[in-house]
Amino acid sequence: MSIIVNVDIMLAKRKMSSGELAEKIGITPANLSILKTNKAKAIRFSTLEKLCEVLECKPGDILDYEK
Amino acid sequence: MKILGEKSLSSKVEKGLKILFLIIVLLDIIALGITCTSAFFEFNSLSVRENFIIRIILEALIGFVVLLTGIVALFIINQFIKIFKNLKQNKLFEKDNSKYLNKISVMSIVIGSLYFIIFIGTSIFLKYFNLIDILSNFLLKILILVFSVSFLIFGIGIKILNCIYIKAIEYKKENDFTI
Repeated sequence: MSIIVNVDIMLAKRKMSSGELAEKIGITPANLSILKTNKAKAIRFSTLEKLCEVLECKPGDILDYEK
Repeated sequence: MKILGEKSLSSKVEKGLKILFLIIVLLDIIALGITCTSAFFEFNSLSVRENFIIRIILEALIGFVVLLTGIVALFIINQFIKIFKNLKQNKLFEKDNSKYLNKISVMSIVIGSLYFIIFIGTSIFLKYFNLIDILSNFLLKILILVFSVSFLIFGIGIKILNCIYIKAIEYKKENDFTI
């Protein structure tokens, strides 16, 4: 997949754990793991909004595109 | 009424299919016995009869095809049992179910084709070569044709349903991986 999810980088920048993020955005750690490992087929706008809100960033900071 | 899970419609259908499976096995064994004994007696009694060897061979061939379709039908029922077993265990959108449906469609088309060959063979081939028409009964011919077409349509229908089922599995997977 050419869309890369950079949640790991943002988590490191914010010094936040995966469990904490999952709890704050209201998804299960298993689903966050799917997202982090780029196994996700799609992401809901509501989830992206919450991610941006919690990690204090823009969607472009979380999502990247590689050819 | 519950469709999936234990004590549901699926589990009852599964039990029914298991009983049907046993009944068909018994009927196949009885049919095999009757066919063999009648062929044996006919072979012994009809010593002077026009084309009687051809008749017996063709009858045996048709009997063989009918028994073969019976075994294939058992295979189809077995696949249905597996599908309903999965439904009983709440395994709805499984790849296995799609495999079973595919096998059912192929086997149904095989049965339909075999009966169609019997119909064509007895109707056209035998008359063309001026042999005895074994299935001389018109109603029996129509019955075989209806049987053949029904199985062919059933097989094609299941094939289409399987394609829809595969799409549903894909959508489910996509939905599961949507965060």
